[in-house]
Amino acid sequence: MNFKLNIITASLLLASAPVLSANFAVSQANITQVDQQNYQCKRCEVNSGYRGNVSVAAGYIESDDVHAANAFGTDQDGFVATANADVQYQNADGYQAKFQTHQLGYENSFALMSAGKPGLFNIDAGYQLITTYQSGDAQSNLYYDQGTLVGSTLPYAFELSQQREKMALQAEVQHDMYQGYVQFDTEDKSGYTSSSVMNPSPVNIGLVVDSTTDSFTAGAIVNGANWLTELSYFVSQYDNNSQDLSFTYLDDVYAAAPDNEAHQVSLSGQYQLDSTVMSGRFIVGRMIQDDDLISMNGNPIQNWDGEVDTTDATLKVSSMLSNRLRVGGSYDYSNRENNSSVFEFQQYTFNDLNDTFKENIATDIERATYKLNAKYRISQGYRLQAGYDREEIDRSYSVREETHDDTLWGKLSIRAIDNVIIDIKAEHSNRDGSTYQTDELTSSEENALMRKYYLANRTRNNVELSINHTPLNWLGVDISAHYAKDDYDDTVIGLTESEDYGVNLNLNATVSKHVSLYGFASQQWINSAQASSQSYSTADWYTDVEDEFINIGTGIHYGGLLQNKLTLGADYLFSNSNSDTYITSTGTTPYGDYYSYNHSVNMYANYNLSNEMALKLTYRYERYYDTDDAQMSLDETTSFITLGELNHNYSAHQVMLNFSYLL
Amino acid sequence: MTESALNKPSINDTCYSCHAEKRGPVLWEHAPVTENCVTCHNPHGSVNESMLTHRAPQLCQQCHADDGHASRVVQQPGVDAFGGGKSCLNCHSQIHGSNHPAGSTLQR
Repeated sequence: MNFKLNIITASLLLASAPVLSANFAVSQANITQVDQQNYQCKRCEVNSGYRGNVSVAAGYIESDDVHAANAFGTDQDGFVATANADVQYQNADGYQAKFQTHQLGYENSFALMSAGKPGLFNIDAGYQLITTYQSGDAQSNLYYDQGTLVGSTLPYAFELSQQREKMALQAEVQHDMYQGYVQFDTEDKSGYTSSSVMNPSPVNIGLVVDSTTDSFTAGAIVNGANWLTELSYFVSQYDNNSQDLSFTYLDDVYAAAPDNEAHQVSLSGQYQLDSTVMSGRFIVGRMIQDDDLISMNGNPIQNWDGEVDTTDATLKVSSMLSNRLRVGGSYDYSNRENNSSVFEFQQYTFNDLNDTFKENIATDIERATYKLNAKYRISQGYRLQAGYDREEIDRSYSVREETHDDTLWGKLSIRAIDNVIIDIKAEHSNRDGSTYQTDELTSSEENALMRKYYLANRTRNNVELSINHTPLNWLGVDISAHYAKDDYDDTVIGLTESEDYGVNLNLNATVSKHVSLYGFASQQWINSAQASSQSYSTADWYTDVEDEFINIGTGIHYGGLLQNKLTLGADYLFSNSNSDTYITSTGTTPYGDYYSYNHSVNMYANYNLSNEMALKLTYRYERYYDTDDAQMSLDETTSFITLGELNHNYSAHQVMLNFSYLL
Repeated sequence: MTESALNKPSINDTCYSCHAEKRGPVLWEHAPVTENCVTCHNPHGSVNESMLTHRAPQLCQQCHADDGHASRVVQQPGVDAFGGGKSCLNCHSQIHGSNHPAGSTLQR
């Protein structure tokens, strides 16, 4: 079943966008300069009436771990049923309607409705559930009683999962060169997430998630033959329905995330002059948070007037100077100006109030990015691209208030060899900045040799190779590889180096009219090294982390059987991630196991009962295992309490019979 | 129009569209969090929970080396509160920022 993303789908998946991108659809094409006298209308066939398909599916799931629901889409165990639809309607006047559903009844599902007439108006409505499962066997001996955590002698098991329930409405109207749209989204998030409180020793808890985020977007677009401009407004309101947390004997151990709101006004445009295209955007925004603060000794205010003003601007120009040379450039500016009030608040030392008072810090961040690039066609089949990027960041109250990254890159594209496409890219970048200082406001006790990795001097080198080869008209081979290395040569304490490299191989084969095969394999390594000082001076112990990913997959699709009535297919995926950590102090000590793997098998048989009706039998198998030596049972140590060992080790099965009807 | 064709003006705005609870502003900010979500998270995936580039305590110790527990060797992860469970986040659970008046160390 094919679910193409329409605007409302995209909004549900990606949340609302304040700015619609320029519309380069065929209907928007500028045809004023086109000589139409030699064209003849072929009388497009109007497919009025209903098209698409509807289906119902029923089956059985066998699983003893709720984590399998991340793959199956539902945490239901035993008999399950769902419905899918992808129906379109169009009448002779061009009015259209669409209705799509996916896995209705499952905890991961959506339903979308759309109606309108292209070029005139469109109305969309959507509903979506997204549920993610971490563990069904988390343990705690703390119960919620309103905002109070109440202890019990025996722990109980609960599910660590979160569900997003989203609804969206959107309307668009269009007339000649004018277009307007409004969109409203609301999302309720609920469930439990892993967190921790101090009691005064740490106690891991399942933190209640109960919040609503509403957002509204309205915009107007005006376009001409070679220009387009858009003005839009976006507002988002986050309301947290969960409460600050206390123990019966210890108040206010955890402050809930405060309600907040964000506003943005955006003006964007695009203009084409001959072979030069310019686009720009200017956005002003404000983020507000004035929730009541916890009332306590040492807090001088009832509610804080947190307010951040943002400015974002983008200007891009691209021009074809000749039929061989295209040049481009862009400028991005982003400013986060924190206008929040600053007060002194009394702080805790361990669990007792003392006389330590501290001011909150209102950090400003300003970022500017400049990019220049050129693309030159050396000869037929050979293209060379090169560019220079510079990013400058200024931040207040930081150990390093100014950093800049300079990047030179080049890319060679070769299309001169039959059935072969080769791309080679190389990049060198360097980060430097202002003098690195001890931050008196935030960390006066920091080791003077520490260089925080996101502020430190860094040299980065990166190369990428990609080859797409079609040796036979039924066979495609894609190979790619990359290597990147970051060196923090001026860092004595902190992250000193990291490297990231990997290879990918993809094969696609259409063996015959009815048989197609695919296979892929990829492996990636990410290694890093860091130095630390337990003696609070030069480095005296070191950490090496070696991460690795493996993905292998293959599949077959075999159709045309039983006089074109039967299609068979199978897919297999293996994925594995592993992380090894080595601590070098007096000697080298490896950490315990920290890895996961997953086997996924999907086999299906689709039988066409008639031209309209089909039966599909599907079997899915999920084998999942993960282990982390950092996981500890609830009371394995007296120094703190965990949620138990949240590792997984399960096999799950799903069998579904699907009946579909083609309209 | 943004780098990497994001549908929001910035990386952080893109993250906030699903994680509005982290948008703030909050009373006590964690500077690298405010500056850029991808300072610590790789949205394209990692071996670690929450798509962290490194897990705690290694990630935290790449920026914190004070004259105290942040500099100590954690020889094995599942032994005590420094490496077990949520590691540094056992105590500093409000790593994305705290709105507690006494939350400057992001513990409450």
